[in-house]
Amino acid sequence: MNGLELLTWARGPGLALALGICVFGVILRSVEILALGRKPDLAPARAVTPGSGWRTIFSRSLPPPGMLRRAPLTYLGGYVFHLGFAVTLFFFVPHIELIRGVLGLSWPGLPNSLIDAATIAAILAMIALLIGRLVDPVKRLLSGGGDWLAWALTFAPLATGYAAYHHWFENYALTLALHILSIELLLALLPFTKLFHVVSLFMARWYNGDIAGRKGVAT
Amino acid sequence: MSASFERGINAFKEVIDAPVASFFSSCVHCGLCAETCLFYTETGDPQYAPIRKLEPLRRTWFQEYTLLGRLAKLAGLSKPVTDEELAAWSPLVYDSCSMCGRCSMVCPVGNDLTLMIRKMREGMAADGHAPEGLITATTRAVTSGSPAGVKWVTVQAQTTPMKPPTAASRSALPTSRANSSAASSRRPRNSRSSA
Repeated sequence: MNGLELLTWARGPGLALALGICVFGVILRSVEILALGRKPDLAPARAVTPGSGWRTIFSRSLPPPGMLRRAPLTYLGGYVFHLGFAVTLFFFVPHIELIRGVLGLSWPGLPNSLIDAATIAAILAMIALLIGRLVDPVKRLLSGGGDWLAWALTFAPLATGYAAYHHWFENYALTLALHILSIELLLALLPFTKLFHVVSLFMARWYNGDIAGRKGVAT
Repeated sequence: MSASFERGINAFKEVIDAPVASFFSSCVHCGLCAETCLFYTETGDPQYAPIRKLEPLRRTWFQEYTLLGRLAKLAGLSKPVTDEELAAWSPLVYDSCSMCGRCSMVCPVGNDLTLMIRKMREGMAADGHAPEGLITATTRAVTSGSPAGVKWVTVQAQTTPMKPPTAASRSALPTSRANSSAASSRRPRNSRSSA
């Protein structure tokens, strides 16, 4: 199989397979979590705070007072990586074209120079976060295979995409195929790795806000 | 597997609900909970990272309530939670958490770690891994109604008025009398005016 054949497979059956596993996995994992349910809380709620859970979904995106100074690498690295990754993923014109092809939805893209900067920022932030994870005693103790796997799965599409866009290698078709395959691996493994936090964090934040709200704590 | 250990693991399984499953699913090991935990900030010892205190509960969740964890368990790839491990975790779950709630307030993915510590203590207590003093206080509360083990004799001793001292008892306590008179003489004469 040469680069072009691999690219054809990745663009067709590979993408369908990866998306299928991803959707199935997200549904399975969500059911696994939500089906556990909650026991009724027999204590009366201390305060009626409708929307406490929903507000927490947004409020947890900002660092609490003083925390940015306490853990600057974790916060700044986290922001730069997540924003850079999202901008690259959703505003690079070829990506929008792909989404239009699959879902029929489209929106205006950003100039390639901006996408380039966002990608480099995300890559550098990821490297900084990796070094931080290796050096910080808490993160080192907490980290296991799943953390390194999640990092590698996320880094691969950024690196291969950057290499493909800049034609680093002579065989463009192969580089692009590897880029698409790395995304497909990311999609297929997302539900079964730490990457599932992209879905479950909304549930976790909601529960946190709801539990605090019942105790009468403002969120 | 001892009966108490089985009780402990069953209590772990019972306290794991949808919020707990969503919390464990969301943790990315960023370590921010440790940055607020006084046990970590005061000692610098990474074992006090709040999410680490929950490791046995996390593994129980993964092995019992996820497809991947169950498959790994069937294949013999997972590390089961042991009685010895819970014993080793007791100081982390009880002595190293004041349930202050700081970690639950800063976790960027919204994990309520304090709630999970409270839930984990239920399993630890069922397995007999609560601190010795807490177990005896609870036993006393159940058997005598008083966690401090106060009995009728103690209450009686306190409620019965003391007999006025006789000449004989006075001479038997020379030091206490000497001390009290010394204390009263040491009192500054102008203590009233300063009040």
